[in-house]
Amino acid sequence: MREPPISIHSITLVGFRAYLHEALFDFSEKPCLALFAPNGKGKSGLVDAFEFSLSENGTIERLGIRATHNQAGVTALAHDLAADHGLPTEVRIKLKSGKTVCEAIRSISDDRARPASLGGLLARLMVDPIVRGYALRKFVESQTPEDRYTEVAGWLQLSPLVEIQKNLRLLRQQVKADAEDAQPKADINRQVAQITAGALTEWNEVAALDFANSLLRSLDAQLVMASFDRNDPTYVTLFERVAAEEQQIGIAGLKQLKVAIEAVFVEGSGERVVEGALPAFEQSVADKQAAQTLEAAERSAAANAVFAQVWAAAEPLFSEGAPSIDNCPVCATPLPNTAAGSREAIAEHIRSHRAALAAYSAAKDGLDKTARKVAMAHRTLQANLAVLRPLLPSSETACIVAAAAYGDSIAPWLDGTPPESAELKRLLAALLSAAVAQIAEIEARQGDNTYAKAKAKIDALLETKDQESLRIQTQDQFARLLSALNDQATFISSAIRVKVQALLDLLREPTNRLYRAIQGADAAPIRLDLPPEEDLNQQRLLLLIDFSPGRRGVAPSGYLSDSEIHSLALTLRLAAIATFNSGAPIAILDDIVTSYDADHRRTTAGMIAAHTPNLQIILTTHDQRFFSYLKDQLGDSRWAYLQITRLDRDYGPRFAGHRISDKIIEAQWRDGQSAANEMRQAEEEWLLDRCRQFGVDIRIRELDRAYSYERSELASALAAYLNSAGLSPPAVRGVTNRFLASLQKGEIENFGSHFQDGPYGDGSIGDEKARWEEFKFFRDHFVCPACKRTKFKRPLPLKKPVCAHPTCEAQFRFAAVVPAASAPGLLKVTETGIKSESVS
Amino acid sequence: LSETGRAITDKPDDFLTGLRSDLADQPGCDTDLVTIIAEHILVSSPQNDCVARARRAIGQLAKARATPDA
Repeated sequence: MREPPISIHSITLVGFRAYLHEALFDFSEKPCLALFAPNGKGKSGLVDAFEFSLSENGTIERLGIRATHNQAGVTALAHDLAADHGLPTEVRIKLKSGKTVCEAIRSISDDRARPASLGGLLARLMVDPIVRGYALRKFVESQTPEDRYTEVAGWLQLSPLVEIQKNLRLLRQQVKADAEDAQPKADINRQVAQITAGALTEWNEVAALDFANSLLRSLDAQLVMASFDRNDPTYVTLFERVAAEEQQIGIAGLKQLKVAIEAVFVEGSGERVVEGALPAFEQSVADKQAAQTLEAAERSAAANAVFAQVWAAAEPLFSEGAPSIDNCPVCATPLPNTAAGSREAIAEHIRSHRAALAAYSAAKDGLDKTARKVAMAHRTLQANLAVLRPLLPSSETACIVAAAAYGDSIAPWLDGTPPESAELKRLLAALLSAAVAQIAEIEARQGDNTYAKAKAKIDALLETKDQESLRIQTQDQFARLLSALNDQATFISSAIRVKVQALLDLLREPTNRLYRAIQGADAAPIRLDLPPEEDLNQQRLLLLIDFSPGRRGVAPSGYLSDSEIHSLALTLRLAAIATFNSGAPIAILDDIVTSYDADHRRTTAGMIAAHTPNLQIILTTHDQRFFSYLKDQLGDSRWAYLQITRLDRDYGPRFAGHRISDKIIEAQWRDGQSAANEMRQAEEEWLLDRCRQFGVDIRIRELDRAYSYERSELASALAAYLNSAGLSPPAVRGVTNRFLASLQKGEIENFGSHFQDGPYGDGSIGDEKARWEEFKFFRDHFVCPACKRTKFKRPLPLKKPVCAHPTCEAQFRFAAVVPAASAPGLLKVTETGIKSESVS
Repeated sequence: LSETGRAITDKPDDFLTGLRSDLADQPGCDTDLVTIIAEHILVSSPQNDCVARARRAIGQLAKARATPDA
């Protein structure tokens, strides 16, 4: 059994937005509400309360969660005085389903968690029930087809499917990119260029075969691979050649031998000097021997070195400029009696001995240095010989023997004459010469190539061939998978498309019905279409109209007026809500008409009245004209009407009944605001009451002057009736109130401020007050002459109205009215007539 | 909603269950690929990196098929 629909039983706001103290909106008797307030008086707080309660994150979209960028964050949900007054910030919503009522309380003081009791409502809301006027135009005019698709899919709870389509689209793009990825091919080409040292710049098997054969040709002209394959017989032969090559000295071995010989001995010739560890060693030994000879000679010259300290101490005493002494400072012998015989002779003696000692010291240092050089050269020679000996070709027996003999001799050598090396030098020089010649010959024959190197390059190219083969196969598989993926994605998109289009088709009839209700029977048909099936991007939604036979399926924004676009967006949302939210037929409409003509407002109100009988509508507006139309057309049985008259910061919005009272107008003036709209509305209400109570027949005029609708019709009809009934409003001398005059003539303008000569003009508040007093003065003529009540009736066949009170029913006639003393400049009207009285 | 309307507006999970089954029943379809799509994409609450995962899985499948002996 189907569960009864959910409706809003009541909403209570406290500490929320403009509502400081608790405000209860009770829908238990009348499920629908029209709430009027000028901007900034708190009317949207009611809509915000609903959005906040249902939201996932406990905020409303335009505020966001945090205060960042242009958003005020959750903080702005709380009334700024709520904490000071110890009030919570919360919204309490009572929901009704059948006879069951449950309450959901959501607060910003805790984690703002969404109450579980709202789960039932959320489950039934396929389409967001909140329609904000400012967002309507965006849907029609500025949204891209992609964004519109996402939004409508959101209404229809198809977001996961939209996500799937997006993911599939992205996956197809990425797999296509993989299938067409040029990087692996580029990597292989780079590898080929590296292997072939630039001879080949990209992989090509024929070119690779040519390159391999060129390598082999330099080694052996008979070696040719027929195919670039590891099974090619030549490749097998290459294996054997490499193995053989390892058994003989190749160019690398010769070069190694050459370097090793040069490290031991290089014979000087031409400009080349003798080099190598062997001559260096022998030279160092010779240098050491010379140093030894010099050191021995100097040592002899400095035999009396034992007196070195005495000479050093005595030298300053006998140097030039020193104080003259007569006796020996050691033995006190008079200087003339010493062996030298004089002070000058002693000084010369000291100088010569000290010089001999310095030469000895230098010779000793030289000997020590040469000894160290010999030791180093000895070690270097042995090391270089150790490297060379294993490299000597086995065919060079004499050289091997000589090197071994010399090595054996040099190893224990400590000092003295070096071992004989002439034979070894000769043999090494010959061997070096032969190796150099051989290297030159090999290089001339095969370059820097060897079988091993050639095979290594060919192996690398064969490996590259394998990689290229794998790349091609992988790419082929990618292409196959991409094709399969495209097929599957098309299948999935097609299934989603069928589902989405079916949902859209469900919308078409109600949308057009509502749209025609606003725009007239000949309004252009609307439809929401997906792109053609062959279009890869299915995540788009085309909003189209059939504007004319020659303009079918065109974008609305190019053909419709602002109000038509607005109507289109509104009807689309309402149709979606009515169609898909049958389990919770609720529509929250926030300022859905703005700044459009009177006809648009009236037909919008008419559409709501005629086509939304099963919706619970909560509507806010700042447009008093629209509010008035709603009241006229929606009746009182299901609808309640509220008007916010002012906003008290330390209380919240203050409400009035739906009629414009004198107090409302006076409150506007107290706030320094113009009351022109309120006055006009009050006049209209009064006119309508009079027409109804007097049983006035109204003739709707031709639409030759759009602005002369409504109030002028009422005024004309009332004036005509009063004339026909012989009820002439008393003349009011000295007053130039165009309202009264036009009422009498049946001509009341219908533009912004009827107190101005031009339309849409603004009068001063002083003007307004004067005019309002005049209106009240006129209005007050319409009182029961007997009981002073103001309600009348005119049952047929009475020609004149009578008092509506059952105990009175006195026939109406114009009473004389005395204006209040505080109404300066007005006329005093009495029972007996009118007389002028200046009270200014 | 009408009965038709309710059928059309099946919840996404139900719709996807049917769609996965229909996809696998397609004659000649690549079942390995269907498995990948069904696991990563055709789900109502996909992973954040579901596309990357599916792409990686498809890449592995392509390589595995390119080297059947490996």
